[in-house]
Amino acid sequence: MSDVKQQQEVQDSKLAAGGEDYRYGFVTDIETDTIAKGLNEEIIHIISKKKNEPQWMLDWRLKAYRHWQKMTEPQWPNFEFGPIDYQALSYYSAPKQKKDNPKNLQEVDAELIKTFERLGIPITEQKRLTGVAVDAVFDSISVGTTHQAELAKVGVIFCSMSEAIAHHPELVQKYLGSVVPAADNFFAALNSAVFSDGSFCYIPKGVRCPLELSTYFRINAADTGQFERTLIVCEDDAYVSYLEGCTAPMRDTNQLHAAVVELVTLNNAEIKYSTVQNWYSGDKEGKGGIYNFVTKRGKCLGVNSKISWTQVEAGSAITWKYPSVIMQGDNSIGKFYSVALTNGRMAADTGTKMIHIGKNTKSTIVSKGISSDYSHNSYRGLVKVMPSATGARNFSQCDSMLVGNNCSANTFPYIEVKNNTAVVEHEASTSKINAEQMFYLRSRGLDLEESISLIINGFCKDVFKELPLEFSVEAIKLLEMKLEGSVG
Amino acid sequence: MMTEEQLPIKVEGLEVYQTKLRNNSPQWLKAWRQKGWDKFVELGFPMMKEEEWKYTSLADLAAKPFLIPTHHTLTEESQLKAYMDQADINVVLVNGVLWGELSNIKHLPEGLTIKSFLDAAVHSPTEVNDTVSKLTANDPRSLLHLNQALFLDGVFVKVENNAVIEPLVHIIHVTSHIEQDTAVFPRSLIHVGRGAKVSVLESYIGFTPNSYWSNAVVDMRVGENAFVQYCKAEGEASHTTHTATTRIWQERASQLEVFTFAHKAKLVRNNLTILLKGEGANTIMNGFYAIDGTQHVDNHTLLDIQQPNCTSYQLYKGILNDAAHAVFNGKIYVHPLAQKTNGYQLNKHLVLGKDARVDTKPELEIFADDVKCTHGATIGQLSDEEIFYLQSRCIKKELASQLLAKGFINDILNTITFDAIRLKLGKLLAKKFPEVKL
Repeated sequence: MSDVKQQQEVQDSKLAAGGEDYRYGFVTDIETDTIAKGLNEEIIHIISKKKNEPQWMLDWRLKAYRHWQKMTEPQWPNFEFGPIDYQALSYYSAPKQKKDNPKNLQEVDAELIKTFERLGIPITEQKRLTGVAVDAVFDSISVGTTHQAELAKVGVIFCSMSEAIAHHPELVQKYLGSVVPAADNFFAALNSAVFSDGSFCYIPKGVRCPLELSTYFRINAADTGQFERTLIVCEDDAYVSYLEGCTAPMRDTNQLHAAVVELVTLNNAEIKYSTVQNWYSGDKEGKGGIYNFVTKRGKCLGVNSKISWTQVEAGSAITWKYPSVIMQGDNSIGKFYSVALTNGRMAADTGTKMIHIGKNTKSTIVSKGISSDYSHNSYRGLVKVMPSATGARNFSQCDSMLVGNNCSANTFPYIEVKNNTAVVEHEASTSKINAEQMFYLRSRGLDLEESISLIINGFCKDVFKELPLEFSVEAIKLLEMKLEGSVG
Repeated sequence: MMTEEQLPIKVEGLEVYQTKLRNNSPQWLKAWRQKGWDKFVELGFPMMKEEEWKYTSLADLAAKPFLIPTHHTLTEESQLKAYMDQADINVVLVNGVLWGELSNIKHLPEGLTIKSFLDAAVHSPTEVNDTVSKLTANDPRSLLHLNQALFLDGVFVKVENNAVIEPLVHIIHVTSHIEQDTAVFPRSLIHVGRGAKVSVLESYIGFTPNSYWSNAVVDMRVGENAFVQYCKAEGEASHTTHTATTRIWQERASQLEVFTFAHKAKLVRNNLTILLKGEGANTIMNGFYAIDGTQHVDNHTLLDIQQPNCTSYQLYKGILNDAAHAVFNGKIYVHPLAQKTNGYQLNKHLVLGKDARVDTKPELEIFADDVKCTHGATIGQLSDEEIFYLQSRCIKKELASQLLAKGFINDILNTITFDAIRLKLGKLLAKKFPEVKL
């Protein structure tokens, strides 16, 4: 019996036992090139060599690694996580390619293409979703990027990070680490030392990116961590919308995903970054699942620029991330829309940081948390108005909904204002589904689950309407599926 | 045993003082003081790296050697009399010790007992011990333990079951006639019986040009069905650091209205903890601070809701001028058992000073699903449109801002339903806002 079949059976029995519905939990049986477990300078040399990196990149990694050694794991979040043995992970795992560098998608392993098709991500261009270019990342490497030629026509660079380091070193050197410095925090430093792949997007001056760009992350190998790095740069007057999706197989051990995402907007530029996160979240008893410890930050460097984060967090054993915006340019705008759903034994400690530095900068935060079963859901946010940010404006709203009596919902909003012209408003509420609303819907013939789904949809509408259409539909379905059976 | 240099606080003649305290205390109090001292030595002075003290630094205090007041006499009687009202039941404590001359506690209404803390500790030890020991267990706040170790005396107020006390009980902690860098430790214990009703105002007043540190503790127990109005007014001398820990324990169906007021000390830190230990308890906790110069006011409140059907309403407002710094951290903690909780919390700031700074953090931690909790925070200025409206009606700009500020203040002061308290706060505020009558 092959491994895949065995896995499938294990899963089927899990499904039967727990009723867990995670249709992305399969494992692809593919030959991989995985390096030995452990983390030391030698490993970093190996990773760098495998990717044929120039010396400056290796030096950058080593510097980050040496700094990481001096740091200690942060222990302040509002959840507990098992000890992570950083020496027991493999920091590089890639599917073996028939050729060293597949020149086009026809040369990519059929098994890989099949995997992504099973996930609903078409990476063969014939079946492409109209208007979406995809970079597919499998464990440590990018296996293919679609529509590169079409994008190149307008000057947009969309490729894997490794390619960018090889072909556009000047851009990478200029912006890499400019938003999230290598020594920013424990997990960012780790990522800087061992990051393997990720996407690089560069939108030149005055270009409105004709396609939606997207990256799909897939963890497949066991005992590895995924450490990808994404960098998006929008020159003056440029615009891009970027989507991100992620899944992983069902395993009994926790896997670490420590990514770094950096966004830079120059004058009048705009980046819209959307995430639908659906990593495997562990079984009903909280065994297994992904630790999603991600550092995401955008910098509005130019005047009148805009960065908006939209996230739907529906997976991961633990989600611990704060997509942030530093509004440095005058009149720049930062936005954050989030839906975080936790069920089972999941924990989420997520929110945002809005740092107002430039004049007349504006930020909006809309966060919706839904917790059910035995899960913990926390919103933690910071709104900081620096003395230079004259006329800064912020509006924050975070609502939580509790479904069941064994879960918790917490709000920790930090507001720090050092300028007397700033106007900052924050409001938050926690409640359960209103019995009257339920009665109203039930009396009109909707069944229990339909009613709940309708109410949840309404609760999250402010966020869903910010997502691109296809994602929006998918996100609603995802939430409905996740909440199935947890109410009633 | 630690040497003197290793202790987290330096106090001149500490050993002599502690021996004196021991000689004054009954056995249980001796042990209790020692427990407080050990705990304080273990915890040390609060540091800014602790989450609870993120925005407030006591580094100045920790470095200084302190004196303990030796006199407990009042030289500024006339000034105090102007603030007091003879219709109230006045309890005056000078540097932590009851001052009989201005207090009128000889003929108290039926059901009300007021005596010195030590007196109560000797004559009714179970009552005192019962309340304080329940509250102290493993509290991580070191300043509380320091007070427990070093307080000289304090006041004990007891309201019998079903007693209704009409006049205001006004406890005045005066600091007077002290040397530079003195530390005082005011302490109060208020015990309100079942079904009783009482209104208490605690004022912290200072008459001295010398700088001092006042580290107060107030413990209160509100019995079943009791109704208590309690106000803590800070009006210390202007070079003062005032730190206070207030712990209130509410029993079934009790009603509590707390008001916290700060306006004068250089640095104020209020820790207010309310435990809702009984079903259907109801709490209103409001606060107001008006600060300018380089004043710093830090309000930390915790509402710990442990039983079902409790309601709470909280509104804190602040006006900041010049380079004043306000910190607010309000937490509502709802235990899994506390279903049908209704909680409301709002913190509003009016920032007028160019270099003023606000750090606010309203927190919710909720473990029960059938609850309704909301919180909010706003930071803003006077609206130009409102000022223009008044100006267009021939009101000078300065007066217009004062009027609008007055509206902002009255909104919160009017939540105090007991007139005598509101009038006294108005008196304290009059010096800050001379042009508007509050």
